[in-house]
Amino acid sequence: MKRIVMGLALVVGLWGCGGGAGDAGELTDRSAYPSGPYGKTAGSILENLEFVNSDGTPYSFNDVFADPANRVLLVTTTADWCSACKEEQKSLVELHRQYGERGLAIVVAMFENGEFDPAEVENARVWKERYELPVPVVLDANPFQLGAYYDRRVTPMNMVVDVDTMEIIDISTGFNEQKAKALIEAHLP
Amino acid sequence: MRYPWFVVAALLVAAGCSGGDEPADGGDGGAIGGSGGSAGSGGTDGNGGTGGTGGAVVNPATDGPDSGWEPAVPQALDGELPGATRPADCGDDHGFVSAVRGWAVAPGGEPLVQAKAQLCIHTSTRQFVCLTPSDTDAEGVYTVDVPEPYRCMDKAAMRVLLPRAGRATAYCQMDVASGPASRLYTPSVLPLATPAVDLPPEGDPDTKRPVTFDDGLVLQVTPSLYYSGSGSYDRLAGRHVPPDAVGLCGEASTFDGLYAFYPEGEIEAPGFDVAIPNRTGLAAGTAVDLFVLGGLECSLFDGTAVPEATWAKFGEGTVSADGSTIESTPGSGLPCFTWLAYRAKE
Repeated sequence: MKRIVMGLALVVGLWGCGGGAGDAGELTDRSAYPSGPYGKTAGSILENLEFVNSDGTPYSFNDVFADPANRVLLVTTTADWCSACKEEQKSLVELHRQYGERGLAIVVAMFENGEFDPAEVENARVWKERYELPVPVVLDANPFQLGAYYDRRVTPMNMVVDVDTMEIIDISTGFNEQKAKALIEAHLP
Repeated sequence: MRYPWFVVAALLVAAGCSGGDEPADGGDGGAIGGSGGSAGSGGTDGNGGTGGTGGAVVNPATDGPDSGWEPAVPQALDGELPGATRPADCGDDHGFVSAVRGWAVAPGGEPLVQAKAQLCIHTSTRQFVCLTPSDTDAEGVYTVDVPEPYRCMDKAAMRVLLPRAGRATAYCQMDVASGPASRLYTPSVLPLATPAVDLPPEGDPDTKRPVTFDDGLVLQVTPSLYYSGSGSYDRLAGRHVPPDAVGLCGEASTFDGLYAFYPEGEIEAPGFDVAIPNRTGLAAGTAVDLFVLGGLECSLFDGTAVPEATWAKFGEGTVSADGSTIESTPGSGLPCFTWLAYRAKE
């Protein structure tokens, strides 16, 4: 009897550790993208936006969600006229190297070229090649969908998302590597 | 009712574990380094500059003189420009700027309409952001409103350009201590870069070839080393700018000569060797220092970044034995296609 009670207690204890969906360490069902309502601020669910990848193929946030290895998503916007964005790319490569295997996914969304016109697939392709980015570089122009998520007067935007729930954890403008790392560390298993 | 110790312990473990990482509240996951402005909700498009042009844009197709003219400051520059009050948390060791008004012209003083004025800011909280550019109006005047989270700043550079016009981009450091509402009375002057007079067909992009510009400047260009978000090898252009040209800022007027290029771009190692016409009659064998202006992305080949609007020495050159040119020494290739300058060593 004592063994049964002990075993039951341990099960209760471990169940408590497991917690709900999205807790670090537990994989959630990734068969269907989280349903809405969607929002554009921290704490809301990120809509499954659709883009064009730098190789011309379709790409959406569901591509990130569907891969169970992805646990935290960093989305950053960029433009060819933005020197702050160019400086950020080196940090993205380093973040991927440091956290990629632990479940950090990064998506770079390009919206304008160097002439302030909507970017084209070729711009995204060259950007990915130029900065040797081992992460998707997608086209987000015409319309610039992510532009609705932040104050567009400032570039770049960086958004951190919990991939288990696709809940937006943080949206900020400008790149602060220290802050990004802290957020990523806090939400990776 | 009494429970064995291990039941109590297990329940305590469960309670402790479940109090951990809860994603539902979108929490910040504990201490977050640095500050970093949270984005405002619902974006707003640009700040609209200082007014529309109301019709077809006509910008000068040629340049007036670089030097010897007096800028006619538009009245709009002195129009109302409210400055925000410096908040208490922006200490005196930082600058505070909430609005910037300036103007853009071609050499000679003709205003440039629908030019882009773009401010990139290093904030007091160590963020680096670029503002969406403001357009110039019919008088060439622009106004940049700095969003609130980025007004407390350590340094900022103003980048002014006219897209698709073949004009070099102008960069100047902002005086961030000048007050919350800053008026730039010296215009940004954008020289029209002359298309290369001898531009060999691109052919093998990995092959180096001489490209000659209008006053005889020769760059040894390897097309595959050049990257520009605004153009390509077939559009290379540039021209000489005298050091007494109106609108130069920073130490530009201290050089013996300058060249402005278009389309702005980056050049990978080993860069482009240069041969500069010896316009100032430096004696044969004279050693010169070569400088480049930092732009959108500019690094020396040792990895040193050259910030926007900052001149950096990238190499050395020597006046040829016949005194006709200043030739860069091996290893002194041009690292950025922005502005080039030289100055005789003392």
